[in-house]
Amino acid sequence: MISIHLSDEEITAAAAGERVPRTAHHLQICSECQGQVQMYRDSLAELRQDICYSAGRSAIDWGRQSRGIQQRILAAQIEKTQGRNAGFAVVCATLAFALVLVVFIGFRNTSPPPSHTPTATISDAALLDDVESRINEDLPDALQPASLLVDEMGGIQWSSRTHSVHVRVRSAQ
Amino acid sequence: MNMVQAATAARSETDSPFADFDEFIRLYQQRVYRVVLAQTADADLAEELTQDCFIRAFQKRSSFRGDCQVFTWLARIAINLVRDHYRNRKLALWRRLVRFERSEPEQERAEEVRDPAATPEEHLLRRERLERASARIRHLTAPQREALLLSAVEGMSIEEIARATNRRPGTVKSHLHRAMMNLRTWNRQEGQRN
Repeated sequence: MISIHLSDEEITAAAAGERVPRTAHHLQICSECQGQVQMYRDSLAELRQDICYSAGRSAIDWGRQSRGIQQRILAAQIEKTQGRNAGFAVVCATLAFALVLVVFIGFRNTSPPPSHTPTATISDAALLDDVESRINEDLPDALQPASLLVDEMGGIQWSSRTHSVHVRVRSAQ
Repeated sequence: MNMVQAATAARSETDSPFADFDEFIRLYQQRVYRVVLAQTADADLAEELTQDCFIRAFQKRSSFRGDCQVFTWLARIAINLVRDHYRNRKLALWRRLVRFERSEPEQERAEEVRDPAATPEEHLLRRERLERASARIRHLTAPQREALLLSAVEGMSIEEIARATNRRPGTVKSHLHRAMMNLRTWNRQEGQRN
């Protein structure tokens, strides 16, 4: 008489096909455990048959699926190549833009600053000489009365006259 | 590169399981589709995710180091895609709307070409059996379902399932045990109902 039967784990392992010498030996002599293992095996076999049958398809259909896979692989490869080309184009465009930007900025930085033409400075002495010469020059006939008036006034401040003449010189320039 | 190196490179290229990718698709598409269909119980979604799985496999083929079987590596990709799909469920409504607006002709075409060799009765029977299988595993958690389906349907070992699901073998064993216990409970309840 067999007192210790196989555990549930041992029975399911045996039904799943696991080879353990102790289990195999026990199954040879214990019909009860063997019956349980067989019950599991039958259940699994039924499941396997159902799945295999439902997954069965004709050769035509497998061929169609095979072609579908090949087409998708081809399409994926083409897409990958196109993606690479597009990426390459984007990188090239970016580099070209960056290059143009660098050249432009470099050009702006290295271009000489606008030259300021030095303004001709007139020395005070030259200016005074010019004023004197203008004052002393003969006035046209039409302005004679005015020159007389100037002579009469005589007392005009030198500084104010100098200022007005200076302003005239500047405006003339 | 000398002649030996060139020959080695050429040999490794031809030895690679991806050397002839068309053949690679033909070899594994049924199993991948079955794994995805069992998890999603939706034929259209399973077809879409199977295609995605092979596209991802093609893109990531250089990452296959050969330390596990090719199907284990593919199953890992497929399971991750299914997980991602359910994780992004929030976007499903928008995706469905976009798909509805954009690809009505595509859907019509899909309906036209959906397994033309199968009769309507076969379609119906396949759907019924898929629903029956789905009803059995619907109440399982996602890790339990993954472990059960990879073990029972694909016949993968605990180590292979652990690699495919990115879990430790002990954890996989535990999930598998719980899944089988739940399946037994479900069978008993169904037996009592009938």
